[in-house]
Amino acid sequence: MTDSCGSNGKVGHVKPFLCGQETEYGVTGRSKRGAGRVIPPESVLPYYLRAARTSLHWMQDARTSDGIYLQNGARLYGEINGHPEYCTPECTSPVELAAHDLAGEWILGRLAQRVAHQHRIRTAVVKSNTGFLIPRNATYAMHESYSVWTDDIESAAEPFMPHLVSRIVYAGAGCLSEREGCDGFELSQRARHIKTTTSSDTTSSRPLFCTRIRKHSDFGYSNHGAWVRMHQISADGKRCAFATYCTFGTTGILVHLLSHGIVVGKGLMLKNPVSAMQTISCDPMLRTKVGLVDGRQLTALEIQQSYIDECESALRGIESPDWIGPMMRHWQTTIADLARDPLHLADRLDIYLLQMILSHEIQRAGYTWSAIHGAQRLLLRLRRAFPDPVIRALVADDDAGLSVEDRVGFTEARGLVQAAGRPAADQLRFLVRLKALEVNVREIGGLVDQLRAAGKVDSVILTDADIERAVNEPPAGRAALRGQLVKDHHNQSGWICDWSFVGNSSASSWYDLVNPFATKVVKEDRASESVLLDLPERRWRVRI
Amino acid sequence: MPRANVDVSESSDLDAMRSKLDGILEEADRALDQMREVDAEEYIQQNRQSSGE
Repeated sequence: MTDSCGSNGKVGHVKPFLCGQETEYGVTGRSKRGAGRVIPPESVLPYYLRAARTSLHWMQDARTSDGIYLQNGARLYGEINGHPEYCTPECTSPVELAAHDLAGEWILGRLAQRVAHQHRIRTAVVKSNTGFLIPRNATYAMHESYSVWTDDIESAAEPFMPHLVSRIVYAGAGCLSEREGCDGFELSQRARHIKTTTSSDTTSSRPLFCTRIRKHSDFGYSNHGAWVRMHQISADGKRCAFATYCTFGTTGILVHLLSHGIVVGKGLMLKNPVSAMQTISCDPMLRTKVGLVDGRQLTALEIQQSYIDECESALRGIESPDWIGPMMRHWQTTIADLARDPLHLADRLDIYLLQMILSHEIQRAGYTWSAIHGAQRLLLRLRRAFPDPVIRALVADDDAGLSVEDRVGFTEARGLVQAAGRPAADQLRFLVRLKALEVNVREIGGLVDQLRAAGKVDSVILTDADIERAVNEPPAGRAALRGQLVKDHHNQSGWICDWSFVGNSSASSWYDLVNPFATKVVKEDRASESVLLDLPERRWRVRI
Repeated sequence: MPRANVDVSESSDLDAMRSKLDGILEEADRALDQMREVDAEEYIQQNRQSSGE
């Protein structure tokens, strides 16, 4: 792809942009019989995958028997430890991405209803980023992908990092937090799991800036020019469409500029990016300053504003896709609103929605955040030391039904609570209800969905019709080609699908989807004949 | 199509925002008040998850 200078003085030929999101969900199950035995996620997940095969248009995932591709171009498969993972199709804008993210929620929510009905169990789907019992012990999260036209992704790490750190003021999901340095609440669930600045590892030393180039897109790198799929793992999966839109939109603008050879953020390098993220995460008032390499101390909002100023200036010199203008305006307004009062964005950003709810309930119960922070630390200590039945008995203040061994634990645990002071037991019980409320906020079909249905949570950039469309229809581009093939060959044996192809080995039919920016699909059959594939008029009628 | 070009000045309507936020809190109050401690703990324990990725 070559650049040229147009009559408006801008460098022409917009480099194509794609983004996508992978979200691991948590599933729960409980038998309706007897005492309601808990069914572990690993045992519940197969019910969901079976329900998907009986209720959706799908094609077998070529890589795993536990996976399928859907008619909207998405991939749904079983991840380790019983997490269903929903990968959006390749989206051409952050608005589209937000619609497909929520489409994933709706699809999984409908599967949950089907599983509950068919298998007579109580089941739920949660979109969280950490475990609820001991958050430090478990993370199952959201990953972002962006197409970037560069052959040197690692050089983008330093100028990107201040953005990845400071964007958590809208890219976090918010959470109760027992962490030292936090006053009971923090901006990001994921922050505590980010351990290093850069790495290609996504499981043990989770990096702020991930340098991993996904293998699925290496085809593109080698065959279609100097683009790679940048894969980032530091943000939280969220329930509010506007928060997801801002996360992908602001980062997408940096990616768009990088794709055109423009690097912003060079003057914003942080002294210690990982520590800065932890610090910012612990301040929901957004006033904490972090140190820059050049000696300045800036708040997250000031860092974001610097990026906005730089991006505005840089964007004047290049042609940009249509989504950039509205995104820049939303970015500017969001940062200005956060500077005025973050809680004014409680109707559209997860963090402040949760913070406002929790603050209100704490106040209504006559407690303070400081007391709840102390209760969280005590509860965490108890959870680490004693098994679930002991904690349950402690909360119920009833040790009936405990084993002899657990009764000893119960006595010891009660002693620890008593030693913490007179109000500790009441605070602990209130905290358990508060924590359950937080879980409910993350549950598909829970409080957020009730608020959304009542018009109290504003998706801003989406309507329900947009989300329903995303449940059924793919975005334009390669996803549309894949989605159409899934629809056409649904329920036909022998067909398999991958991000880069659709094929039927027994029929010797093979559709080449290696190039994610392709506007045509190449079919190779036994006789190597070209055929014409009809796709909906608004997309392409292509020669293959 | 998604409303990418929505007027961003709508966020400045503070009265409307305030009434919206009150509505959020009423729903949260209802959800919390319906929750018994022991059921809340059962609900949290039922949500035990392991790491993914």
